[in-house]
Amino acid sequence: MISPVENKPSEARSLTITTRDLGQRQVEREEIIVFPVGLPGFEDCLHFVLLEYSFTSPFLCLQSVDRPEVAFVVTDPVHLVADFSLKPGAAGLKDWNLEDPRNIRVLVILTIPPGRPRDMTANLMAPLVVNLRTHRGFQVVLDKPGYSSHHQVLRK
Amino acid sequence: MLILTRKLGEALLIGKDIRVVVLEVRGKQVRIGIAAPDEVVVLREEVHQRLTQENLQASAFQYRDLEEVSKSWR
Repeated sequence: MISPVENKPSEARSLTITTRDLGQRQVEREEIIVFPVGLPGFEDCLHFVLLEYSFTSPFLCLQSVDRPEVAFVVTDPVHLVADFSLKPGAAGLKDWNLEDPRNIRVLVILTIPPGRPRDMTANLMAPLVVNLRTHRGFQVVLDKPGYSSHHQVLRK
Repeated sequence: MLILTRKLGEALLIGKDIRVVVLEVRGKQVRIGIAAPDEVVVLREEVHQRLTQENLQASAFQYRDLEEVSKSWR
């Protein structure tokens, strides 16, 4: 017997979300990444999805499910620095040392100054670390010299 | 704000599982040790403020700028 609770739309396997730049998108429930404490400045955004843009680029859209107007451009740091590595024991990472590295996805947030796209920078100091097995993510702070919060992406 | 006085080596407990201990006092600097569960994020206040500013700036990107800059990868 199916209980009424399982029929509620909120329990459906997929859901339609409104995005900032990509219209409406259908996403699977298991694609949702939970950020238990949100991101600094966006503490009310606990649920995100990673979406691809229609054009070819190494960029992905990290779209808030809670607030359609909130989205970030993110990328894998391997596109930016040769050997990006997380410092073991960084805040929020301790229990993840036990996790299979293949289950960990690291992304960095890009800042594109309005009207000056070639001045785009990447925040290597505070990457997003996503556990693909538990679908949980954190923005961590790496106390590491050389990893700037304003890493220049394009050569001038 | 709650204000408490502690001596070197003395600690404070915040809730059930956060312990803050004074490790060293040297002139105007105080070294503090914090034992907290992994899910508790501990950041220097100014780092958190900077991160907040950077995230707010990052979220203010314009989609057409992103399309423009993506041409570099085609």
